[in-house]
Amino acid sequence: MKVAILGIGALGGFGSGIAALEQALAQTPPIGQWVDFDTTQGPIRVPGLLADPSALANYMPKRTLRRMDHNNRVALTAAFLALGDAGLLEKKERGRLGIIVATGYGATCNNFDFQHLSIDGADFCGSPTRFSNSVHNAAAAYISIALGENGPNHSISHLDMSFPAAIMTAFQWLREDRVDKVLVGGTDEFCKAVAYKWHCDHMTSEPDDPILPLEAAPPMVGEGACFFVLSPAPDITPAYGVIQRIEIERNSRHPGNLPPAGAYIVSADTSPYPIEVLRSALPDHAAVTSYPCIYGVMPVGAAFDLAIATLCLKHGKIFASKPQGPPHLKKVGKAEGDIPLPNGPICCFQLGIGGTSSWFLVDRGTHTA
Amino acid sequence: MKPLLPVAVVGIGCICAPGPTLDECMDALFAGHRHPSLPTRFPIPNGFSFPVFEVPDTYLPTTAQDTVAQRTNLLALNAADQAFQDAGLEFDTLSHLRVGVCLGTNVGGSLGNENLFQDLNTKDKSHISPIDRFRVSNPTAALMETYHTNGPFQTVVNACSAGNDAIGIAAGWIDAGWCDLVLAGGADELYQVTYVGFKSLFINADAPCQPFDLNRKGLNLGEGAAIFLLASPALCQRLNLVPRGYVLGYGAAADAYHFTHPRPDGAGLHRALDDAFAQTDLTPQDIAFINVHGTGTQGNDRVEATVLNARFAGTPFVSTKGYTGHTLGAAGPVEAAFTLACLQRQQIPRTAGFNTPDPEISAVPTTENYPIDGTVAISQTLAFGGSNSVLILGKGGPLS
Repeated sequence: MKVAILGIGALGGFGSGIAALEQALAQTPPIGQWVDFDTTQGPIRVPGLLADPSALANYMPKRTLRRMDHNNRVALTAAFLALGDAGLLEKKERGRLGIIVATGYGATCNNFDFQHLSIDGADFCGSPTRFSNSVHNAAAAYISIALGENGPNHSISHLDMSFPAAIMTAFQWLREDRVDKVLVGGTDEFCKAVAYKWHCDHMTSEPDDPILPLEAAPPMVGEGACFFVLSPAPDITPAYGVIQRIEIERNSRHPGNLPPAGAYIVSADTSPYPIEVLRSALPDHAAVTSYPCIYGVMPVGAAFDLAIATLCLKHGKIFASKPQGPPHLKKVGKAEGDIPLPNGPICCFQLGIGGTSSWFLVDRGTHTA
Repeated sequence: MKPLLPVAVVGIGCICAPGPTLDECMDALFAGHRHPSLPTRFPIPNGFSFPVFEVPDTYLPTTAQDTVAQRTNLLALNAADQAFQDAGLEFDTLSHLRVGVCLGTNVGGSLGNENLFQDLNTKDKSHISPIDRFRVSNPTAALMETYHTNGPFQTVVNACSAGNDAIGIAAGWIDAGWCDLVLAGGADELYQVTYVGFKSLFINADAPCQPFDLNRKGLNLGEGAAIFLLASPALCQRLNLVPRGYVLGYGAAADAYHFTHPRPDGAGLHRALDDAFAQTDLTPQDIAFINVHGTGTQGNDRVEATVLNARFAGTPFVSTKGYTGHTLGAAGPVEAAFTLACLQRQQIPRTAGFNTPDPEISAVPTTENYPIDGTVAISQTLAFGGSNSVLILGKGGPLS
C-alpha cells in the first residue's frame, strides 16, 4: 500500500508554513535566538530555534485560545496549516478524518510546572488547566476539538521513534479503511530541562568564559510541529508525492537493511550515533544529507525530514546539508552542496535509542501534480 | 471498515491491587475483596485524604524492587513474564519470529520528567540525559530490551484509554501480517502528580469509589499492568497454542467536545462502538456483558449510562474500578483481561461500591456475582481529551 501526501503544515524556528521551510532550505538556515533562564547554578543562556504560533489566530477566535498553552498552539497551528495546504479546511471536504500526534517529550513545560507544584508543595493548589494541559494527548485532543472531528484520535510518545510510529499507524488506519484521511504530525517544545541538557553538553560552565556566537553553536534545541494530510494513494493526484513504505523495528545487532534509494536523509536528532553504525547502515556512494540546523534538535525531527524530502522531490534536487549539520555525518558523505535528485526514491532514515531504527521511502508517485 | 480476522490472545499476565496474577485477581473480585488505603509511596499534601489501590510490595519479587527501573516498568515486566508462562512459551525459542511491542501508559511517559525535574533542583546531573530519562520511564522500551524483540513498537499515550488502544492497534499488526507475535497492553504506577492532578479537577473520591451509585463522589486511582500475547493464526497452528480469547473488533473515536468532560450525548462512544462492530459480523444482541469504564465520576457514569440504555438495554454490565481503582494506562488491558476471564468462568462479579441506583441515569450494574451465557463481551474505556476506545472480545478455545 502506498500513501499520498496531500498537504503539509510546518512550523518551527524557520518560520510558519511549507514555503518558509522551502526558503530556509534554498537560502540560509535560521539563526535562532538566545533564551535566558535561571538555574540552581545561576543564569544561563541557550540558543533555540523557537516556533511562533501566532498564525493560529487566522484559524481560531482568540478567546478560544485563552486556556491553550504554547505547546498545543504550536501543534494546532501546524495542523491547520496542513489542512489549509491540502484544501481541507472545510469539514465536509475531509471525509472520515483520523488524527495522530507524535511527541517525544510531551507537554514538557506544563508537566514541569505542575510537578514543581506537586512535589514541592505541602499545601497544594495546582491549576486544573495546567494539569490537563500536561497530559501527553493534550495536543491531539485540542486538534480534534478545534476541528470538530470525532474520528480516532491517537497520541504516541516513544522519544525519537514517535513520528515513525505515527506514520505506521496512519498506514494501518488507511489499510483498515478506518478513515478516509489521516492528519498526522510530530510536535515538541523547547523547555528548560531540555535546554539545560543542551547547555551541559555544549556550553562552558565557567561564568567568565566567552559564550559561543550563535553561528558557531552546534545544532541547537528546536521546537515546532510538522503535520501531514495523508490518504490512500490510488485515488488522487498527490501534491507532495507518496510514501511507499514505512519500517520501524528494533535490531540491536545491526540497524537493519536499508532499501535501495537515490538519496538518504538522516535524522540525527536526540543522540549521536557511532560513525561505524551509520556507515554500516548506509549504502556506499549514496547521497546523504541531514537538516537539523533547519528545524533544531528534537525527537520528532523525522517529521521535518519527511517534509524536506517532498521538497527535494518537488525541486528535483537534494538540498545541501547546512553548515551546522552533525559533524560525524561529514564522514559518511554528507552533501555539501545542492545536487541533482538521483534516480530512485528518497529514504528518510533514523537510528533511535535502544537499537531501534526506522525508515520511510518517499517518491513522486504515479500521478504527480 | 475492513473486517478483522479474530486475533488470538494466547497468553495473559495481570497484576494490580486485587492480586498478583489474573486468577488471583478474579478470585478476589468474586469474593468481593477490596482494600483501598491512603498512598504510602509518596508524600501527601496537607488536607488530602483520597484512597488509592496500591499493588502490595509482596506482589513483586524482592530482587525486582531493588533495581533502579521505574515501578511502571517492573509492573509491565511482571505481567509480561506471566503472559509468557500462561502461553507456555519460552521467549528464547521465538527469536526467529517477528515480535512487536505495543503498550499504553500515562505515567510511564512522565516519570522521566520527574527525574529531570529533581536533577535540576538538586544540581545532580547524573540522570539528565533524555535518553536515560526515556530508558528508565518507558515500559515499551523495557519490554523490548528484556525480550530482545525485533518487530515494530509503539508507546500509546491516549490518557486513560491508552492501554485499550494499544491492544486494538496491536491486533491490527497481527491482522496485517506485520508480526507473528505482539506483546500488547499497558502499565501505570501510582504517581504523585496524577494524584494531586485529579484533585485539582475535583474528581478524586475521599472514600472507596461507587460506580453508578446515587452517592458516587468520584474515582480512586490505582496501579497495575496487564499484558496480552497476541499471535498470528500461523503461529498458533505451528505451536499448537490454544487461545485464551480473541480480539474480534476495535473501535476508537473522539468526543471533540471538551478536554476533561465527556460529551453528554455519548456521540464519541457511539462511534467507537460502531467502528468496533463494523470489524465483526456481530450485533449488540450477541454481547453477553459489558465491562464498562465506570470510574464513579458524575460525568463518566452518566455518559456510559446514556449509551448503554440506547443500545444495550437489558445487557448486564459491570465496573471493576471498585476493586482496582483507576489504573490509567493499564485500565483497558486489566479490564480486558478480566473480561476474558469472566467469559471463561461464565460469570461476572458484582460492582463493588454500587448500592443505590441513581434515578437520573437509570443504569444498574451488577449487584451480585452474575452468571452469563455467551461467548462475546465488550470492554470499553473513556479518557481525558475525549478519547473513547472499545474492544470486542471473544471467549477462548480453538478457533472454529
